[in-house]
This record gives sequence, C-alpha cells and structure tokens, in this order.
Amino acid sequence: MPPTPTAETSIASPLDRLPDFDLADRGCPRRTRTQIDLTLLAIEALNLKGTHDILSLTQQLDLTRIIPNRVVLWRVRNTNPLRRLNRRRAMTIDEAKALTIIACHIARRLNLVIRQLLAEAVKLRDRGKPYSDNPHLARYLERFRVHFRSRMNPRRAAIMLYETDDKLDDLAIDLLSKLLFCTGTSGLQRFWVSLFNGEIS
Amino acid sequence: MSVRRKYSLPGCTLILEGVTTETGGRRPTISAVVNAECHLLGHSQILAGGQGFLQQLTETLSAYTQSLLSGIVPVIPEGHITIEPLPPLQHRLTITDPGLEAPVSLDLSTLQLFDLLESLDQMLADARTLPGWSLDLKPLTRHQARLDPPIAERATPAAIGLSSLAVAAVALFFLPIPEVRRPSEPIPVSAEEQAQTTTPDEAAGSAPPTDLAAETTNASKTGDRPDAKRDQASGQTVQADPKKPKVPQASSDKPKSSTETKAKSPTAETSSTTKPAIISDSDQLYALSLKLDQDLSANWNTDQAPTGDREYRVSVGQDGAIIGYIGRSEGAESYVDSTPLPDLLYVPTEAGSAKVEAQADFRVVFADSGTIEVSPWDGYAKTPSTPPSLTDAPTVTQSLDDLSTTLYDKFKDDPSFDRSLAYRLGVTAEGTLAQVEPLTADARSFYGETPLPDLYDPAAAIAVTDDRVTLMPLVEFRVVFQPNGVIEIAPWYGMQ
Repeated sequence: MPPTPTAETSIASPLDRLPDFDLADRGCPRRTRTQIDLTLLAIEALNLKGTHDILSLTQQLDLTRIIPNRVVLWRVRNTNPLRRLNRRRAMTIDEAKALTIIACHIARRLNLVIRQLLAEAVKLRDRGKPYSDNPHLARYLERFRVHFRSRMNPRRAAIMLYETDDKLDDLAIDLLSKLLFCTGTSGLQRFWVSLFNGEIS
Repeated sequence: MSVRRKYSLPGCTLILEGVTTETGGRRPTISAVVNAECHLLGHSQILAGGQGFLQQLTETLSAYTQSLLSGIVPVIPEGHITIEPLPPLQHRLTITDPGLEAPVSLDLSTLQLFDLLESLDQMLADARTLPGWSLDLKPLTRHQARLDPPIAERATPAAIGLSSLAVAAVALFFLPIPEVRRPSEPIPVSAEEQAQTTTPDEAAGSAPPTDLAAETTNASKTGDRPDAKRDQASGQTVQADPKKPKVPQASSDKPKSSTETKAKSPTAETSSTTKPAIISDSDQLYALSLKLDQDLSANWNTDQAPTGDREYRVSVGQDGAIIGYIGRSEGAESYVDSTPLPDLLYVPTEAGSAKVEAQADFRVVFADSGTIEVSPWDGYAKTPSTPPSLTDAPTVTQSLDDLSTTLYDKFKDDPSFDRSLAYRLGVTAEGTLAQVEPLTADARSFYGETPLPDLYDPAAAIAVTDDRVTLMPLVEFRVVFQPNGVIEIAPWYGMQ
C-alpha cells in the first residue's frame, strides 16, 4: 500500500504547530492559565455541549496523551488561580497548547454564532439598549454569569471586579471578541502568542 | 504581466493588483503588489496604497490584535498607521500621511477589524501571493511589555513609586524637628526635588513609572511625525471620498484623544492628582498589619513556595486593600506568583477612578519556614496601644457564659495532655473567638489538642468601617484547660 499523506500528519503532533516558550520549570504564567480557562468558559456558555465537545476533540485531534479524561481536564482548568478550587499545580506548555488548539477549533465551528452575537451586541449598544433585549445574547450572557459565579472564587480581588451583572456581561462580550479573533486563518497562532505576551524573557 | 486578486469577507474586501513573472497558469504567483485596496462595508473611504502600506497595515493590525487578546499594550511598528481602542467595541484606525491633506481615520467595529485583518491574513497564507513575505508572530518580551504594562499592573508601580517618594519627602522634612507637624506646605516642593535626589534604592521604586509614562506618550505620538524615509509606494494612500468633511475633522482630534486616553490611565492620574497621605498612626498601622497578615495567611499556599525568604514592600489602603507591591529581595519579583499578592491586589473597577486617600507601607516576608512576617516599613512611631477591651459587667457575664458553653461542648473529656494549658483569649461581643495567645510553652505545643483551633477566627478581630480598618473591642479571658477535663475561665480584668 502506498504511504498515505495522513500517515505523515499523524506522526507530527498538532502541538508542533505552536512554538514553545522557555518557562524555566515554572509552568505557564498565571495570565495564560486564567485566559485559557475563561476562553473555555465562554465556549461553554455558547455551546451547551461545550465540555463534551472539548473531550471529544481531544480524541479527534490526537491530544488524549495530554488530556486523557474529564478529570485531567478539570485539573488542568483548575490551575486558573481565580477558580474556587484552584490547584496550585503548574500548567505545562503541552497542556496549554492542547487547550488552546481545542478552544480555537471549537471557536471556528461557532464562528457564525459569534459573529451574530457580536453584531447584535454592537447594535444594542449603539441604540443604548440592554443586551438582554436580544434573546440569544441574553441566553449567552446568563449562562456565562452562572458558569463564572459557580466556578470562580468570589473572594479574589480580581473576581470582585465582576460583582455586578453589567461588569460580567462586559467580560463575556470581551471574551466573545477574543473568540472571534481565534477563528481566523492565523487565529490559533495569534491567540497562542498573545497568551505569552510580555511573559517571556 | 499584471494580476488582480480579491479576498472577500463579509465586512471587508481586499483587492490586490500585482505583477507576476509567470506566464499562463490558472493562478499565477504575485511577486510584487502595485496597488492594494481595502473596501470596508459601511465606510465610503477606501484604504489604498502600495506594498509598503500593505505591510505596515498588516503589521500594525496584527500587533494591535495581539494586544487586544492579551491586554498588553502593543508595540506598534513606527509609521503612519495607528490604531487605538474606542471603547466599547470599536477601534479607530488613523492614517497620517505627508501626501494627505489631513489624517484619515476610520472607526471600525470589532467585526470589521476582524474582517480586515482576516483578509490580510488570508493574503499572507496564500502561497501564490507575495510568497516571500510572512508575518512573524511572537510574544512581546517582558522587557517590551514593561514599557507600558497593562492597566491593572500599571497602578502597582505607580502607587509604590509614589509612596516611597512621599515617604522620603516626609522623612527628610521631619528630620530636624521630628515632633512638629507641618504637613501641607513643603511636601509638594520637596517631593519634586526628591525625584532627582532619591537614593538608587528609592529610585528603583519611584522613577521608572514617571519616566516611562513620558516615554510612552512620546512613543504614541511618533505615528504623527512625518517620516521622509517612507516607502514611496505607500505614499499612494488615497482618500476616495474627499468631500466627506466629517472624517478629517474627527481625525484632527486624534492626537488630543490619544493624550486623553493616556491621561485616564492610573499612572497619570495617580501621579498628577492624587497624593495619598501616609498613615503614621501606630494604632491604625497595627490594625492594618493584622489585617494584612490575616489576608495573606488565609490565601497563602505554601506548597508552591520556593526555598528562601522573599521580601516585599506592600502598600495598603486605609481599608486594608493591597494597592501595590514590589519585590525587595532577590528573586522576589519572579516568584511573586507563589505568594497570594497578585490575587489579593485591589484593581480599581474603573481605570483611574480609584482614590487612595491614605496608605501605609509594610515589609512582608514570606519566610522559608512557611510563616509570614508583616511589619510597618518605617516601624511604629510609638508602641501601639492595646486593642480596646470590653469590661462592662453585663457583656463580660454574657460572654463568659457563651464561651464556657462553647468550650465545654467542644472539649473532649479525656484530653491527651497531662498538664494545665493557659491561654489569653479575646472574644468579640458577638461571641466569636478572635484572639488567642498561649501563655506557656506547653499551651503553645498542645494548642492543637484544645478546641481553640476550630473556634479561632482572627478575621473577627478586625472590622472595616467607613473604609477604615479598625480593631474590634474584645472581652478578654484567662482560660486554663486542665488535664482532668475541667476548664477554668476567668475575665482577664476581673469582674468590675
């Protein structure tokens, strides 16, 4: 049987598409960990099957070596220092890569939804109306608020900033814009690089 | 041979006219771009220019987007294209070109910005368009990012810098006549002079924020400076609809609006308008140090702590919130993540609106042994007075009753220690055990055997009223746990 091109791609790990950074054994910086987790949180608010999709993508994208199951996923996400159940364990660069690839992959699938929601948000803002006037947007924002409040540690100063619904809605919209940029042709690389902006020596 | 190529997205169409050396073929490779046009939906202007313009536009937008994603202020390549956020959800792209009568500026929504960048990204990814050119995506280094740290972090060095400046100023002024207080007149003057005469140690904390603020303001203006060496091809930027008067007008405001945005940053605000008073009252310092100690202890996880002591200078507002910190020992900065400081840092909800009325600086040492030492940076002016004590008979009786019930409830009948353990306990009027002081070495060693650890809530000793940290008045008792299961409880000051 002639060698198929897929054989070659399966040897090259998807992780190789992203550059490594020297983290000096300390794992990923806190902003990286927070940003990845919040991005996944926004995806879960957009997509009811979010967690399920994340796990099934680990298999599709050949990332089970890094994220073998739900428990590991949960542990890695809990390296976000703002979580209630924050694990003060390090997030390895491979774990960060895997989650970034998954997040961008799902974001790309959700591109249309993200565009529509952002367009609605701009329209409502321009007219001086609340986001809740659009049922789709309202549903996303509400789900995001619920996820955020149930998982983040309200005693952290960084979380206290989002005490009000309005502040949390602004965060959710901001994450939506970020997700949009993840969907682009160079979205994955740009998002990955941005996670380490100002963190490397 | 000339080739025309189009990249279409819902909000933007990029049209390239280029030359190719190939003949024939369905899709010849464009080796040089002669003219590029970006048509943005909803805008009558067309962004147009040569290859130099195209490259600069791509690099600027890419750097800007990277900063949007990360929150770190971008390092925009020097040139005639600038872009800045126009909250909420908008971005102002400005093109200042010597060939243009007035700068052109376009307000883009996030969707339009995405489409514009995506059309450029698609062009870059296209192997048949300018194959030799690719975008080098890489993170900014710490050094680059430090030129202009994100808004949240920007408040930190400013607060620290300012406090050390003010402390030095106050200290110098008071040296000759320490007892006399003449707060208002000399401080602003000496603070300014002090900026030049600070010791290297002080300068490390104070000088950089001010210098950098000035530097970055300059940097932000470089985009407006005409640059003679500019690529000729890029000079072709045209304004397709010159009769639209609104845009030049709006764009002429641009330098102003840019400085306005800068002025809103906490750095500028803090350094120009607010001058927090330094808390020198020993009692308040003591209360603040207790609160700081508790906040840090409650949130410190020693698992990740590296070896060695780390010392920080921490600025705290009068309500006990941490408003800034800076590492003072070797490695302290790089290991700051292993301390709870970043998590506890108070970040103003609205940039620049946080008014720090008074602040105090503390020396905080995260010791190798797993303990945290907190002491006022400049020490106490006098010994802090003992915390207020409740001694009126009805309160003491009630508390005695409550404490006795609680302790007996929790105390096991067959304790594992064989000697008496004496403690001085402080209880709030509500009955919460807020202070524990072992009176003997045995009492310290066997603390874990008593019911005290379960009941001890140091946070109850501290109250924040009117944004000021104060100590709660406590009823104090002398409590002795006997090995036979008896607990002796007596009011510390006796019954009055």
